[in-house]
Amino acid sequence: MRPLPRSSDDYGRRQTFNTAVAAIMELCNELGRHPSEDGSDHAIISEGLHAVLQMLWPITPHLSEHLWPVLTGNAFIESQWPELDETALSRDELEIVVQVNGKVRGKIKVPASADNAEIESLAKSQENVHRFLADKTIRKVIVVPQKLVNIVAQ
Amino acid sequence: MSQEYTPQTLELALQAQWADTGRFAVQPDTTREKFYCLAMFPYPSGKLHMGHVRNYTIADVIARYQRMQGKNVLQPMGWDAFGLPAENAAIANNVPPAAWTRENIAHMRAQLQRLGYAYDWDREIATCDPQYYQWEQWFFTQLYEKGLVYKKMATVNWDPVDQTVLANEQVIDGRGWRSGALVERREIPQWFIRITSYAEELLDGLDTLDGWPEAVRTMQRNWIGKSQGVELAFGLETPIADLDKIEVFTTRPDTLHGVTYISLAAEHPITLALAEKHPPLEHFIDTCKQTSVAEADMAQAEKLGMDTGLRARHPLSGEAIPVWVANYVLMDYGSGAVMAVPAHDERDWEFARKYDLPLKTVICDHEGNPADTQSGAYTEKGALTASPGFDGCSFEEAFEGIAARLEETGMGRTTTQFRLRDWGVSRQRYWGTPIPMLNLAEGGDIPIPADRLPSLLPEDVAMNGVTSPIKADPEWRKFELAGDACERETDTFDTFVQSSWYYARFTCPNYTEGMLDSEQANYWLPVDQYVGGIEHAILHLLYSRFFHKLMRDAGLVSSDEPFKRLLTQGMVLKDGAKMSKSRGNTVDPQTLIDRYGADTVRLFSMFAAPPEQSLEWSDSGVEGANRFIRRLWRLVHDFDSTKAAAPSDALSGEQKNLRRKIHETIAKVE
Repeated sequence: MRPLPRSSDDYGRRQTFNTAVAAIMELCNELGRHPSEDGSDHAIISEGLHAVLQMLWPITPHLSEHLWPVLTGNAFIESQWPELDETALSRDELEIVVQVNGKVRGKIKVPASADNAEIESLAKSQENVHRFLADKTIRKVIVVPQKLVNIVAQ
Repeated sequence: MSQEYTPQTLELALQAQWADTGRFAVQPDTTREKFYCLAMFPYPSGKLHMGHVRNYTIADVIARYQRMQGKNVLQPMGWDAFGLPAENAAIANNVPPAAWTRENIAHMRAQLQRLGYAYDWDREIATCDPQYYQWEQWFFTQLYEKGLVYKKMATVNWDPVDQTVLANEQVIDGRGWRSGALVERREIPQWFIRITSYAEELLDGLDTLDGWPEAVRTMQRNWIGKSQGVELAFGLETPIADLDKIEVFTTRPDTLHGVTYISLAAEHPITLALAEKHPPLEHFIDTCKQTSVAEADMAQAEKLGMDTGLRARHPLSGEAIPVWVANYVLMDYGSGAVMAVPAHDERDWEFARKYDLPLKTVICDHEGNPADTQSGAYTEKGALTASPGFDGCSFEEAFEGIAARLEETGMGRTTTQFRLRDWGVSRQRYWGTPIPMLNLAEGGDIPIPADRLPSLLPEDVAMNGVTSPIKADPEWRKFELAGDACERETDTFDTFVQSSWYYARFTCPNYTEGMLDSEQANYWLPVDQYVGGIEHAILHLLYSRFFHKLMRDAGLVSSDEPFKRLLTQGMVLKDGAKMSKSRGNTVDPQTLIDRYGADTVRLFSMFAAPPEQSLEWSDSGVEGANRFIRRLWRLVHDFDSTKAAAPSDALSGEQKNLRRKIHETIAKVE
């Protein structure tokens, strides 16, 4: 489950506990908002609540240790940081910013597997971008993978 | 199970369970990676304030996070228990300092326990316990044997009405805090530890501390203050007080031709000798002594001086240079004499302007013209002028050339000087570690033999607010050594001595065979994470580094530095100002714990600001933290885990997004 070694961040490296709390709070909001319709929903919310209680233990140890058996039926084990599943981080689709001559003119959704040529063609066909390119000649297209496309035109 | 969030019950139940099972008690375990997490231990002032809560919560979060990483984590707690406030409280409440201190410790310990910190309480230390300070006394006698401590006359603040020495903080606007009398400077014999012997190593070691904030390292560098300079002398026609010259140190030998007078300290031997035949000078010396010796007070005090009439010979030009006495020159610093170059030094410029002494410009500005020094000193470096034999030289050329010339004539030499002074550890207070030395009847002093330590501080005493009870009691000081009567030293150690090694004693707090059990100490040390206020950037952290090296050289520890990583947390503010009793803007953490529970207080102090920045107090922030806890409480209780199935392979987009959010958060937070 852990294909890559990684460095710790908010807690371990940067020691910015405030941003860690903010991220956990945000996750809790999403867990609370998510519909629980099928077994998969329940499984994912359960996974999320497990992670929240573990990540909060250094800050609110009483709350975490008290709620853990409520959630799991088992006693809290402290020497466990929630497992990171790298595969869950991958995206099917990426949102990419499209610029014309350095100015943002639109956003496109592209399949995570798309190569530069596909991204370029999707970018050019985006309606607003198309309008800005109407009477211009494209000189150069710069693709920054997973982030943006900049079309240089005159 | 109750559906109501009741923090008081659930927190107390868990804390009792942690205590009963010894959950956070640790022992060395070579099969696991160790992590020593330490917050600066508190002075037991009475009760916890929000600054403590913030400090200890930060450390606790780091310690618990490291436990989650599977490490063997030591997090101890103790009390920096000696010090002046206990004496003041004793006088005000008519209770011995020991009793007052121990009551406070009991109360604050219960408060820390109520906050649920993961401390190994079996290791608790109070520095006022003889089991602790006896080893400090023993170590001092070891340093004495090595020649690393010595006694010399040093200046203190003297209250002429109460007939007692005052700490710098007891001098308010130049007057004794109790008597209101004008404070005098007085010279008394005091003990010093040779921290200057370690100046170079303390400076170099800073380069290895890459886990420390750069600001703290810079402050220590400046405090140690290494500078290259020249020691040189101005000759006298006839010797005074057996001295035939006045020695000074300067980092700017290039300005030597700009010297227009010399300033002596009031306590300089030449000053004292001259004063004997010169009543106005004697009177002036008395005036000088009425300035506190605190550096801040010295800087602010009006600069006063007097011409002694004496003239000294300039080592290069041979000119006669007037010799003055000035209140801003201290005997404790350097040689007690400074060469004054008013054209190129701000303090000298002010003094010269006030007493109408001449300016002599010897440095050129950037355009190569003699610098304009009429409206202020020109302190930058530049080419020399009006300096026979050196005109046009750069700073470096002039430094070397002038140093060489002085060396030839035997009037000077290049040296390295440190701003750092030896550490004066004598305090004329009662509530501290008695200095383990004996004053012999025939003069001189020797350490109390190891088998007669500790030199116990009596605890059942009455304080009259003026004299230390161990100074007032003629019986306490009596000591017999091999049949000869001698007397104990009645001064006590600076409390910084106790806080310089407590982190090491935490590794073996109950060891009875010595100061440290090296096996335990070397397993746990150095401290992996130290957390405390920036106000300790210099003294406490420098003295601890110094003690660590002393302990290393005594074979007690094997590491070079005590603290690997340092976090200096910010202040707690309310309405934009630091919370303090005198401002009346404090918030009592106990009220918050009683109302919301420990977890809310902990969560708020971590959420409200990054640890190194100021935290602005906000009631709504505390309520927000509490609301979040209640929401999570409900979320978990309302969740029906029996409905969870193994996630199917074909998750919907929304489901995938939520899983991604979960794992992005895990990666970010860790």
